[in-house]
Amino acid sequence: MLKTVKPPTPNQVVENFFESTGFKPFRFQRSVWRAYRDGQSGLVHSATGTGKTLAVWMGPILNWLSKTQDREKWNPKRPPPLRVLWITPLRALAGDTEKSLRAPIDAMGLPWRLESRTGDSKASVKARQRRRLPTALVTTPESLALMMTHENMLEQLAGLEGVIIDEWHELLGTKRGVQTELGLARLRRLNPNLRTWGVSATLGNLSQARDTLLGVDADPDRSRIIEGYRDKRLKLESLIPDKIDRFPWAGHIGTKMVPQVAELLEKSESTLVFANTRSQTEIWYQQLLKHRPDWAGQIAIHHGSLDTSVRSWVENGLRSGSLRAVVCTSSLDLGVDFTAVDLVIQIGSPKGAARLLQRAGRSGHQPNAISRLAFVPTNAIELIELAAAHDAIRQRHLEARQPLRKPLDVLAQHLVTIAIGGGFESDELLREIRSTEAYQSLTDTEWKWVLDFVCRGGSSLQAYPEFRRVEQLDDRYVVNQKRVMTQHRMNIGTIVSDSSMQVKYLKGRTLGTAEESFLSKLSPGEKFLFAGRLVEMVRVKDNAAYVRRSSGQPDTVPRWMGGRMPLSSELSDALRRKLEQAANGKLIGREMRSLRGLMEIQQRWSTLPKHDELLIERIKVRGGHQLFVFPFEGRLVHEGLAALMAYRMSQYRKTTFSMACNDYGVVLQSPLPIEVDEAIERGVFSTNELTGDILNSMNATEMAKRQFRQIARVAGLIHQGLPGRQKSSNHLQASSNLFFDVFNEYDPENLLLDQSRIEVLHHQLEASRMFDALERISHSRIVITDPPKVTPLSFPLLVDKLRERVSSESLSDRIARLQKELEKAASEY
Amino acid sequence: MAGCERIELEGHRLDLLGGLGAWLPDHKTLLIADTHFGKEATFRRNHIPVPTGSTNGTLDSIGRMLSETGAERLIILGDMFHARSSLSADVCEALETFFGEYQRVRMMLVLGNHDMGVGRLPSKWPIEVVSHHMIDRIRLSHHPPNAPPEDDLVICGHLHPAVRVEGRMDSTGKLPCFWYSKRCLVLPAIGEFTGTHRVRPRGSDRAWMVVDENVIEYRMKRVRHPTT
Repeated sequence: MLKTVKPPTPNQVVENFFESTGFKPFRFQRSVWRAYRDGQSGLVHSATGTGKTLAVWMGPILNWLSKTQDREKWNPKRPPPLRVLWITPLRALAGDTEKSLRAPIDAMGLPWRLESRTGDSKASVKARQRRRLPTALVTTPESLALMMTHENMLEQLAGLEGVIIDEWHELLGTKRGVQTELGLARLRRLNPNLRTWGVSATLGNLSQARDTLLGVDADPDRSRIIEGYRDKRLKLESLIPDKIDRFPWAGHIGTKMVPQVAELLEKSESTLVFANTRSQTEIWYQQLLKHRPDWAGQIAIHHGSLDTSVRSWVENGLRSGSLRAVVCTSSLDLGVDFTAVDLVIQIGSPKGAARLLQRAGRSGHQPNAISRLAFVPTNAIELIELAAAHDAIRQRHLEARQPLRKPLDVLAQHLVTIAIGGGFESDELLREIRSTEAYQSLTDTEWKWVLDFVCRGGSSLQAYPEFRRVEQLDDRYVVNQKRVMTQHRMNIGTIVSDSSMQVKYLKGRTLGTAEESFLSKLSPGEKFLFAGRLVEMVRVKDNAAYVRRSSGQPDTVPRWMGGRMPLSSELSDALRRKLEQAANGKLIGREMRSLRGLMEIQQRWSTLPKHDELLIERIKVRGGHQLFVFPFEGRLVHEGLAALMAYRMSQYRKTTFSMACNDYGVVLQSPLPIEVDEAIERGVFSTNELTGDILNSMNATEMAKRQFRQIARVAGLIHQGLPGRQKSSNHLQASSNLFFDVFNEYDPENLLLDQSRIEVLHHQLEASRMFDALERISHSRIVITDPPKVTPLSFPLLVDKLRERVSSESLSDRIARLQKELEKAASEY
Repeated sequence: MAGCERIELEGHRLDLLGGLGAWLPDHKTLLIADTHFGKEATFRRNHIPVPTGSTNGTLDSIGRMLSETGAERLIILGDMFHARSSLSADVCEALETFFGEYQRVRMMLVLGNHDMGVGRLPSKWPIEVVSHHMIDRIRLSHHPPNAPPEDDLVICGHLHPAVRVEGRMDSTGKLPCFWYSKRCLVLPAIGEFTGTHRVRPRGSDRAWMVVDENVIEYRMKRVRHPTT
């Protein structure tokens, strides 16, 4: 019996594990393991479902195995202390992540302890973890920040060997991404040899994504980008209606295509149907059920505002393959492996090539399977978009995600976090903070201001009496008051959540959340679609909307903010090239060929703009003159451009414009004829004084105010109610608008106000893209046509509901006009 | 110069002022509501940074109305202070300066719900505190009660009323307003650091909104448009 078996080498252990799963390690996975072993850091990118997780997870395991070969010493009762931190962007993903990380641990019989720590974890687990963290911990950026408020956890965090950031592309370019950067900088200071590995979908700016992840102090020779399994086979097809109407068919969200979509669902095992907004998912779900009532229970709906229990029911159904289809938003873009899904349907514009690629990857979620995506256009031009996206993917022209630059609200929050977790010394922390990509250019003045803000409220010149949050003791900044700690810890998770209200049945079951601004506008009895059901409002009480099941027709569909993404600049560019091809008579691919008739009408009535042309169409309608301008630059840029044009024109001629924008162009309507040539001559498209004109043209204050809502929450001006103390903290409630007004009036130098203006300029209006667009226009030939009727290109602009008005009228005049309008409307009944 | 709208309610003359007060010319009395003095101090005390200045701003606008009307009496219809911690040193100092400047004006506070939590005001302050008050069959209170049949009219605060004007393509933000409903006139909150609550006047209600210190009567929507 006594036979000495040579213990397997670490590599053999891993090979054995792979063998048991039926796969072989890919070459890129091995490269990541080697790099990790050598103490390097980096970013791994690969198509969805091609083994990224194991690529980064095996590094730490191999490393531990090679240090602890003697199995005698493996004791599951005494798991090794914290070695690996795994950061996931969504806490909803933590459970699944934990499961997939656990599989190899169990298979190899490692004595590791693996746990999660998120907002959903039990208090008792969190308390135990405060004393001793597991060997590997799955957590979120917020929970990491929270851990840093506990001084006694820092010692454990200092023992980390590696930190892995999953789905880094989702965090990059967001404030939570910046929060992550700050957290990583802190971890690196605790352990300068920390390995940092990011996992990302393929982006247009991978090296920037890596640099942001690793910080400015990273050694370039030891910072890697490892490309994974690249060429997952992709099959893209479009559902083209039998008869392309002369004009992009109405309906706005393409529900005319329901029968064709149902037919596709019928033929596949399991399908994800992506819509671009939560409202659209509600509508599509209803329409599909109406078409196929027998599918009740087989199809489901999933979006970010639904209650966790609803969502996890759907996710489980997808995993087990028991659901035929799920109508969803980007909520299912991430994580969770749904191996059963064999088809993805995209309804409406995907807005970007990278996004389309990633969504397609949700189907055939195995290294060698084919990804299948069917595209359902909601208007004819979207078919050009798909063709353009196809080209962009083929040429690897994928979108970049721009990292954020020094948001001071996040920094203020971080300073309080560090002050609570043991305190800091100014110079030392400044060095650490400047080691992040986001804050590398933070000036001394800005640093001083944020420091003053958390200590004294305002700048040092204008200290706020009786205000204390962070206190200075000798050279150290600390927090001493228990209430500040509690308040702050409650607030850390608030970067994401907007002012939302729960939607509940009268009997108490929670359906999900919707925006307060939407719910508060509903009167009792009004019916709306929510979570795939028709419900009616009963009452709003204690920050919850109570509803009951209803029947009949909905009065409205909830709108959630942030649902509308603009067309990416990469895709915009590809779209312009497609149009030029069409203008030259080249219609390549099924999508483009199906549009032949439409293109001919466009040519006949107006023209098809070439890549270096800007098309302007003038049409006279009852009650006004319409000007359609087609820069093809994405909705946000167009919103800015429309307001800018209207503003500049109203500077030399008193008039009022109403306008609408979409991803292709802008329509301005005015009661007076619009002299285009004069406008161009007077510099309506000029880049001179651009920033100033933008700020004047948009109701910039209104937008900044809206932007300030989030800033106020992150910087700790607005507090989440303390549990059980909601009533007593009522007197500390004030809206962000109120804060904005008071700061504007009495502390106009407050840098948070500046930040809101900068965010409006750069993120809401995409000012730099606007500048590029105007530059491009200035080198373009401007083609003005007077079509006899609304052209195929113009038509979608007329059905777009988003309308704004720009005028130089005073508020009082506006009210007079509005009241008159109402009276007129009333008299017509 | 702030705007003003002369109205008559149940036989009583009333001027609605652009400074968010109501002036009773026959009684030389200025009515205001919901000053919430020192709210910013309460916030600071609770570790939320808010600049100083809004209490002084509110006092300035009250002062302007007192001077322009030549009022002999000022009545605050409740919620004079926000909370106990609102009586900070700087806020008390501002109030005392104000009292000194308007010695000729008799001051009265009709208690509101926030005042209940504040406790006694400093005894040297020249302000009479009552739970409600009558002037010539006009009842003054903080909360809007149903007007008792024996009174002509109730004037009160508490609600911080505001309206929004909406058209098909445009809408204003919330605008503070005077709201008259069922013989009860609700004054807008005058405190600078106070929020508003949207009301929807209906039926025979009337409302006057204050826009850039002008008082404009709100015209009711008579037909409800289906919203999409």
